[in-house]
Amino acid sequence: MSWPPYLLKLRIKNSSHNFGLWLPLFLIWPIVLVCLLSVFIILLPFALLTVIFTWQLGWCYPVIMGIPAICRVLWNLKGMIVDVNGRDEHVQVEFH
Amino acid sequence: MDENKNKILQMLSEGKISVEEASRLLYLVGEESKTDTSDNSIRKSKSNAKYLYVKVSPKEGHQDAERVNVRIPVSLVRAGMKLTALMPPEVADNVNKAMKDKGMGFDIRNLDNNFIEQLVNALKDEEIEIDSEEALIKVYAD
Repeated sequence: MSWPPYLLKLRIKNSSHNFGLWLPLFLIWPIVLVCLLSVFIILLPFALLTVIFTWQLGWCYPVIMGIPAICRVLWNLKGMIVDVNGRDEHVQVEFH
Repeated sequence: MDENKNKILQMLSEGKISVEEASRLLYLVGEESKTDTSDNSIRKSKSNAKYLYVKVSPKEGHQDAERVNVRIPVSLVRAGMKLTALMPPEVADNVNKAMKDKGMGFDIRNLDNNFIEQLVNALKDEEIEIDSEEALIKVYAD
């Protein structure tokens, strides 16, 4: 069984700044879930109206299915590393 | 497969088939087992590659250029591929048109998991290496 990333490691370094951050995502996920659920309940009527008005344009399916698809992408971020090393800059993003 | 070979040899010993026929049948059984083995190896390699790597290394004399290391989980690529199915028709048409202008004539809505599996398998066996004036770009799966 796969798990969502539990830690985000961020490092930004240039000539004037040196910034590092370890973000414990495992603490943030429950808060994000609760917030998303409340936002979803509040926005549900507006979302339904959007779906009705965009039905003719063909945007309905992406609006409905977009949320779980984006969640799936976030879930699979674990193991992703982006490391860019310039002459004076260094940006590193790691999902653990 | 050994069972088939035994049957052929038994038929030969009983005189039901000639030596030539037995030889031909044994050859066919051998080819079949080879195909089975290669199918299994493809199935195995499908599950093996976990990450897709993109590495950009500047060449000598271009030390100002950025050094880039990106590791992308294959599962993320698979999940991303599913997003293409959610593209509104006009957006997909625009993307297809833009890709066709760049010489890639395929429909982005037709991309599926088989495509990505084939791509990852190919990148596992052979890496893509782009040798430009400023940098060396490598794309591979592991």
